[in-house]
Amino acid sequence: MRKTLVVGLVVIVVCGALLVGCTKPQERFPSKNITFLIGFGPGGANDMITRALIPGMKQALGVDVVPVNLPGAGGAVAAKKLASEPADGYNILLLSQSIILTQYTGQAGIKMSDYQPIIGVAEDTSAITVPADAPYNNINEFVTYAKANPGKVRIGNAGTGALWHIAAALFADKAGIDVKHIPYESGAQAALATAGKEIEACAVSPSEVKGLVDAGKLKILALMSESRYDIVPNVPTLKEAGIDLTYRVWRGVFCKAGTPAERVKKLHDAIKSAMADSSFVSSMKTAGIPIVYRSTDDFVAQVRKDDALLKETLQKLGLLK
Amino acid sequence: MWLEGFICALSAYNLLCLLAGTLVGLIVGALPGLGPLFGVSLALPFTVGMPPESAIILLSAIHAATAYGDSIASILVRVPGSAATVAACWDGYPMTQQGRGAVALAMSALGSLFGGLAGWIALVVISGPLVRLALKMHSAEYFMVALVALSLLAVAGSGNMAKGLLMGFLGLLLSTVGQDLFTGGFRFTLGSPYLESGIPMVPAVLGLFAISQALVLAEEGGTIAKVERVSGGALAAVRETVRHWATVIRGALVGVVMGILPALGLSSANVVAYLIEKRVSRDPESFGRGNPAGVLAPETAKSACVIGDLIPTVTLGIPGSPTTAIFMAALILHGLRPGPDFFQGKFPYVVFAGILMAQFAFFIIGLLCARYLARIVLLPNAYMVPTIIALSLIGAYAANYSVYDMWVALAFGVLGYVMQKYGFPSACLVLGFVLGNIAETNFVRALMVNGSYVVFVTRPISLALLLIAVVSFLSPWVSSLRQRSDRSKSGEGVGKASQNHA
Repeated sequence: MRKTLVVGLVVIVVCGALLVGCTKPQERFPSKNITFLIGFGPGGANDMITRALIPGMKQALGVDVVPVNLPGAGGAVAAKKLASEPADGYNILLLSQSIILTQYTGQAGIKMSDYQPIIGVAEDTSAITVPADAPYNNINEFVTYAKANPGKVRIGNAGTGALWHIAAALFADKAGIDVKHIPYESGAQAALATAGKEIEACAVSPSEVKGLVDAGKLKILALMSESRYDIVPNVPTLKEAGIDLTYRVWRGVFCKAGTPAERVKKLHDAIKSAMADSSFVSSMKTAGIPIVYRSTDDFVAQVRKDDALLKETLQKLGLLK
Repeated sequence: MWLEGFICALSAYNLLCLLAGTLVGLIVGALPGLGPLFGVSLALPFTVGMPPESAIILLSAIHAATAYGDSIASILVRVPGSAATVAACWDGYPMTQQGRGAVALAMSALGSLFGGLAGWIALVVISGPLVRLALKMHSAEYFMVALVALSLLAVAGSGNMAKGLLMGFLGLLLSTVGQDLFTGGFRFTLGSPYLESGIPMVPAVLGLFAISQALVLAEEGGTIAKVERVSGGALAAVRETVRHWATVIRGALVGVVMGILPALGLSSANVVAYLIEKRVSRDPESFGRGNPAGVLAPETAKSACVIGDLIPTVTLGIPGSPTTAIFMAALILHGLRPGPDFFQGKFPYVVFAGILMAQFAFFIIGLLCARYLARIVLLPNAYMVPTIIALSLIGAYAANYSVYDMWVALAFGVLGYVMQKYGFPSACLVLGFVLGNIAETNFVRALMVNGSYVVFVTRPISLALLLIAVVSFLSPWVSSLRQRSDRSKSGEGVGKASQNHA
């Protein structure tokens, strides 16, 4: 009696196990939770954007999206982690443009070819900013001054070989001026040093100088974006001033290269709908992070273009190892 | 404006937020490694649906209470919650061992309250001039401030100059690990991407103090308190604090000044205030053996610095520390943009009222709890040790959500243990470690900006600071030389000589 029961149970369990094995491989994506890696600790812009995107993504995808902070080496630690995961779309990561630079200046061994851009989420730019009582009132007067005083103008950035250094170097190159680049611990510190007149100018994010501009300590001469900014509507772009240069600093979401195209599309659509969410829009607006959507194709092209541009600039600056 | 602000802040719901924030803050703060940064970032998402005033009051309360709560473990168990309370344990813990833990805790609450009030007054009344002063500080001056602080190495290492200097330079060396700001090159990173941004401060401090302390306690066995019962309380603390009123004023000044300078901050303010106190004391030998002034000074400075840190944040929109960056993010999230427009409308006054009330909230609760919390030292070390190690590792992880940081904490734990065993002063290591980077980058930058060493003596503030540094660095040697010559003249002149130099 007891033996039959055991044999019967074994048969049922074995059949059950076999039947499970017989089902078709799962086609539906996503069928489990998605991990959203964050390359920085809590509190920064990347962390804020990621966490603000998640509620909308959950709604669109119908699964949980779990944020995981993996800080280190300017996002490179998280990027390495992403590259080590399977290319199934279950791990995604918000990266900023600086990841391109870490290919050349970091030691983590990052290769952009390991990643598939999904969507562009935000774009920032560099604001060429000077003390409020400086003798020049527009960017052309500033360039004239810099030409008359070669090597005398000092422009602050947030680290040698980092994005704002590249911005200032591109500008100096285009305007044909000879300047000295001074690195600070952060863009905000460079802004403060400009307000304190330790240096003549800084070229950092508009949101980093906004407070000091409002305080009457600094004025922005020009933006390196394609169009004007909402937070400083009166400031012209370099292009408007006749200097043909734009410099975008993007943030966007990536998965591992080789992820099936339909999964990339599904992720793209979910993030796009999360970006349209009114609470996302308003929280990014108050945080001063300019939201700019780029489709997968656009974003792929932009990443490729920037890779070439940044590599070339690093080479010119003698920072390519 | 003020009336409106306070009336708003005093509504029942907001008072509830104040109380809740203070309690959560005290608990989070008391756990090693979890400080204001963790507390505020933990609470931020919960405040999203709340009315903005209540949210800010809740966050201010957590901000203030975590900063205070940090000291509890530092004083009672010699396990600082963060770099901000490292100095509090140097005399707080000996007091605890002598059974005066409750007094030390209550003094820490008093010092924190006075520091908080000083910082608050600076924030509300004189933030304008303070910010103008901060703008005058160029790289040369920042370097000199760091140099003045480093000149206290001699004070920190007193008793054993050679070991002190050795540790100071080890600290400086450790601070150089990471990517160089000026060349983009890597120093001592061993090819690891983890070390690119340098040795993380929180895990290093936790290892150096908390984990090493756990090892020491494990070895000792028994209980922390070397006496049978815990004595003293609030009244004794008030007496001590009144007696050391000058200490409170000095601590508050150091805290506010370090707070308004964006690059310097909590991690250095408490150590510097402690060392200055030891420097001016008539009896420097008593520091490190349970001198009440050694608790009062760093605690006052810490609390003043917590608020002082907010001054550049609210007036210029430039956060001075990661914690204030989170606090600023919270203000922005609730629709309040820091900057010159900040002082408009009723809302900022609610914030100010909230910050002020938060000081009193943690003070009252802290004072009431001191007696009971102090009993923790009667627990057997067998329970304390695993708890401290587990909490420290969690704390190391929580700062950045990084497993690697736990290894850093363990490595520094072993280092700290060895240092303690062989009498190497940890104060010197911390001083070098927290100031090394600031000193180096600002020195290089000052040269880069100006192209000549002359800048350090042509700028008046820089020159004045340089002279202070030289005097401060040399005076312990001079006085010990003079003592020696006095001693050779007459065996009784020692006490008098040291008094002359106090």
